[in-house]
Amino acid sequence: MNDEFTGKHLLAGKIRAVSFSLLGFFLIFMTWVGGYSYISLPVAVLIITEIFFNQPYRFILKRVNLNRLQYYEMATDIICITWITYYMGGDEVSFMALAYAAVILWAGSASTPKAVFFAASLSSVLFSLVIAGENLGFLPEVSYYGGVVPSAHIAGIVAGNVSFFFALGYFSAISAGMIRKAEKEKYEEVIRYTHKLKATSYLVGYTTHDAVNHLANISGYAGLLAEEKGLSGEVSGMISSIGELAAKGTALLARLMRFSRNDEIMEKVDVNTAVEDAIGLTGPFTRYSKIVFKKELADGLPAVSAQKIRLQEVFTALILNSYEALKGEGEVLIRTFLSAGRDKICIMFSDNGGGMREEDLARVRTGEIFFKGSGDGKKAALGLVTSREIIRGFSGTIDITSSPGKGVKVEIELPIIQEGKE
Amino acid sequence: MKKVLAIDDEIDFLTILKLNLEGAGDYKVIISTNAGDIVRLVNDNRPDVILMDILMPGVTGFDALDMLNNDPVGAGTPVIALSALEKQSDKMTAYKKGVVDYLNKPISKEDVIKKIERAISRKSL
Repeated sequence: MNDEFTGKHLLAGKIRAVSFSLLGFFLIFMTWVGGYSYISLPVAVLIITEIFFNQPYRFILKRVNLNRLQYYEMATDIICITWITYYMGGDEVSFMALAYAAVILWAGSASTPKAVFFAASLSSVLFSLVIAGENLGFLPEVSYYGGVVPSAHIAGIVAGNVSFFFALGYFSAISAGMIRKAEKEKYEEVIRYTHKLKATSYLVGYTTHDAVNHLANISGYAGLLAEEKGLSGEVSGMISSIGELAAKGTALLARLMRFSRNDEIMEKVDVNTAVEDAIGLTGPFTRYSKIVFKKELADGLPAVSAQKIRLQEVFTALILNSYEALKGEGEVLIRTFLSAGRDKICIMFSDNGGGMREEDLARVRTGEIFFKGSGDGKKAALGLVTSREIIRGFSGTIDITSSPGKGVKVEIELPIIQEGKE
Repeated sequence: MKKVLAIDDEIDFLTILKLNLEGAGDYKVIISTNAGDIVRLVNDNRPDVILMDILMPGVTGFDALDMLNNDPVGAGTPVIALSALEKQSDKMTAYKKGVVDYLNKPISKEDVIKKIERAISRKSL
């Protein structure tokens, strides 16, 4: 079962229930305030059918073909709307035509052009039959004002509404197609980039593994040489330097290697260490800028349950994002502290860059764009949506706040490991 | 003299380890770059402890541990895993397959001696 399509069915069911409930209340209200009473047994039955019987209940969704179910749902919607239109009649025709439009728009946004064509055609046929049938005398007259409407006027109403249904259907199908195409392209780009990143990650992991081995051997040979007797102080110092430099290189590469590994195990993570590692990891990149990284890491913070590497990915992305946003100069403040309730660790990344406008912030939150300042987002590799997914996987939250000229602040909260619940 | 069998695909690493351990005193170090020979090497040399890399081409450290666990002599020989990968999942797999300790490369002479002594003393308990 397609989860997204199921979700759209469920949403449509909710919208249907709410809309027809409101219609029912509206009709009762009209009667109560002394207006014309549209309430009749057929109208009540139609509204109840839509609210209770034309619903994609989960036990139904599990047993039926969703593609066929959508035609049943749309047909039921259109039949009910048509009869309600008939029983209400008069000027309310144009009001009820909006309900047809809702079905046609849903078909466009959730399904295929075929479903749109079905919805527009059925709406046109039933609407035309009922309106024309009533006015030509094939159906009993129920319009409350009971006036005689000229045939030309009826033909105009029918033609106008039918044109509207098909025009709306066309618009709905075309625009939904464009949106889907854009989403597909974006998704494919993300997939391509993710694959490239993954391949790079493997290459980095195994290349650094070999490099670490070589450096470890250099360090080892240097250690053996240093133990030789009769070496001059100068030679001894040089050998010692070789060992120290190899050890430094090893530490640098080991950090990169740990970052590139794909470890899925949840472990007790010291957030401060993860922050320090992320800063160290981005050091070769950021140290040539005039950006000052300030740390205010609280001592003695309890551990959190997380995948350390995934957490570092988020921290690294945030640091790189700040780096990009600051354009080579500024200040990044990283704070860790215990929440007021002492049950969460808070990690805050803030910069004093140009900040973001509310509309850009909204696009970052929905994943439409990556973090502001990271260009096309590829340098930072992770957008807020991906970071949120990672943090959510550790039962935490992440939020971003900003305003123009006041920098960007990202706050992460992670629950601490409770005693006895490791 | 305590016998140590060291297996790694890096001959330089094995050479350094051998020189360091034998230079430190009471050790005889047998080295091999082929993990596929582990059962034969254990039966021929009866080492007190095995130091073995995990990530090796062909027969990996994990494969070699499986082979060792199916051998009566090998199953009773303590193994210390060595790796530059430092992957948590690898560590857990190694422990599940029976290694008694785990060392991340680069390793110091002091650390490796400490771990070897601990493994041997546990075995003799």
